[in-house]
Amino acid sequence: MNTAPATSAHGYRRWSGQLSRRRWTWLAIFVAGVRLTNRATKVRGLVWMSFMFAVGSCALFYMLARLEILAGSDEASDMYGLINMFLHVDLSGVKQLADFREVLWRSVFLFMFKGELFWVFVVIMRAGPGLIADDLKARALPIYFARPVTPLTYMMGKWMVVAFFIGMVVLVPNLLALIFGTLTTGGLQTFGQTLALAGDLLITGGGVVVFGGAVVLALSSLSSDKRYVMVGWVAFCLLPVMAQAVLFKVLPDETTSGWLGSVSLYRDITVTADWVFGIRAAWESTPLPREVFDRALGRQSTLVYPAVVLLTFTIGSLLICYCRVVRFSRSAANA
Amino acid sequence: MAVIELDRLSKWYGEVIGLNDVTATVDSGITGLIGPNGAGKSTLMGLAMGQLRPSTGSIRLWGKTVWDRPAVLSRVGYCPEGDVFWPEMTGQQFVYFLARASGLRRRAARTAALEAIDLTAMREYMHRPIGTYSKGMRQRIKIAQALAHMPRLLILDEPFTGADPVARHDLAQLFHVLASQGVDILISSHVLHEVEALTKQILMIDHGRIVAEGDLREVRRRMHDRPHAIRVKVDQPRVLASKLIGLPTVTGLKMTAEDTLIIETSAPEKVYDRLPEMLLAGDLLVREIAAADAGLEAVFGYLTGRGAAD
Repeated sequence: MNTAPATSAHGYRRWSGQLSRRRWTWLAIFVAGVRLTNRATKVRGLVWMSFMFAVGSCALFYMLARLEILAGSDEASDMYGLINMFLHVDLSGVKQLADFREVLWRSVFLFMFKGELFWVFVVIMRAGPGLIADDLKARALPIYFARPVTPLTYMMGKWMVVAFFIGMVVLVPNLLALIFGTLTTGGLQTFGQTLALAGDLLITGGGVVVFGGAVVLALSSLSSDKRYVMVGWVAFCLLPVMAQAVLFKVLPDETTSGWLGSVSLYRDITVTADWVFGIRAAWESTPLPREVFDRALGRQSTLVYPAVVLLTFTIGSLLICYCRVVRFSRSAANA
Repeated sequence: MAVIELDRLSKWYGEVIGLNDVTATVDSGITGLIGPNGAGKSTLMGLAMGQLRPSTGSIRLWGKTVWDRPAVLSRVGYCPEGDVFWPEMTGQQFVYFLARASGLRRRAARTAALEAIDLTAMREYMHRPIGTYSKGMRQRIKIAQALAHMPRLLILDEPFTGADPVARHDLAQLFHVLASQGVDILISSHVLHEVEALTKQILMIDHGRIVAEGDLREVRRRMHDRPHAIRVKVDQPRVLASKLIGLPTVTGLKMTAEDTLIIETSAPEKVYDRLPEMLLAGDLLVREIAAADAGLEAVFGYLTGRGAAD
């Protein structure tokens, strides 16, 4: 395969080598997008700060490892209090904590994941709105679509940019924490116990990447002013949470177990994450008395409604974004 | 093979006609796309880039339909008229990114980007963010991105806009060099004399229709209904006028200055044949003999009913 351009006497070298397949053009869009977004100090700062979640998880793993050794001693009493505060489980009467390592780690990751969701919201707010809106504002679409870039590869490239930043918040810190915890707690035995957690972390993190990326891309394709997109994103995330809080306050529990319980997207994601991590089943399968972990389980919800809501929004957003991008690509010359 | 073929091509925007049943070909070399604002130039370019779908008819690049077949575009470089920049990007990043998006691999894209930047004389400024560029520099970096993937065909929409006279000259030189290297260029401009200096091959468009196509001189020659004008700068124009008045092919004579005579004729070749003999016979001192309305501007004015491009 010849990849070297043929040189001419006058300096212009017409390309005679092989070009990448056009389905890989998203990679160029992705790399350029990440570089451009990463130039913003605030985005870089937010991404770096998201590693506090990894630090938090590691601190909890460390505490749990210490408790495995110090269980029942006076030294452990302060740590029981801290664990109870963060994970809502009372381990003070539990011997042989190592037997419950997996379920405890699941609780740690779920606790961190819920915090990371807020961070994802903030990072998307900074990194996502300009993805397509800036191209619309710069009227850059004619030069994208004057190349072998299809609407799908363009969308893929843009989505990968936001996916990269979401992944840096919700995937990388958790996986790092898992590696740290495994290495510092029991080695190979722990690795076997917690291996499934890596898969669960990838699924939940991947879900957030797909959902958040799709929604912000759709919003970004709707306006050429990223400030409006930002406002749209904030409203999209916060208004349902506020509505849900009011509903939970005024309605009895039974009425909020169906559709009414799925108004808040934040709650939908956490309910789905609970299901992926199997936290309820994991605790209930332990021989521990219910009062040890009851607070950690929270309000019981069915998965169907949250899953349907999230899927609908994801597919709807992707469709909106795709239709918009196709429209842009077919009228780029008049943009 | 023709580079671009338009076959009964039409494009409507609702009830507005962008292009109306156009059949034409663009051959190798530089072709000037001329027309007033709203004539359909950008529509034609958009159709050629596969960014607009033909309402009827077809447009082909090297015999291949371009609509919905973006692979063809890897051989085309496009420089749109407006600004298309991300102001935070440096010139080099901009050109490199678009070379990559065209399918060049990393190393090749880096080399090609630098070459394109060199060709447009932007190396000195390539590490500066585009937001700090002057209009002329933006124009040049935009042309660099069109060249970055080393295309066979360049489609340039008003490439001289904003460039200073030196940059215009350099760009014109660059286009000549590229054309001599076998790069075909379709260039639209409203600065007619600049297009005329680049090429005699034109595609003139007005109200969505092609009004003239081909070699400018040939187009002018075929305009039989318009008398040709020959400008003669001579010391005694009245004497020359008295000699010319008897020629049957001369349809009018005008003195536009003390030393300038405009000869209107339906057969300019015959007038050119007879002029030396008349000048010698009258012992007249000649300073200039030139076609007064064979230029692009005049042809454009005749064909579109406008004095010049707007």
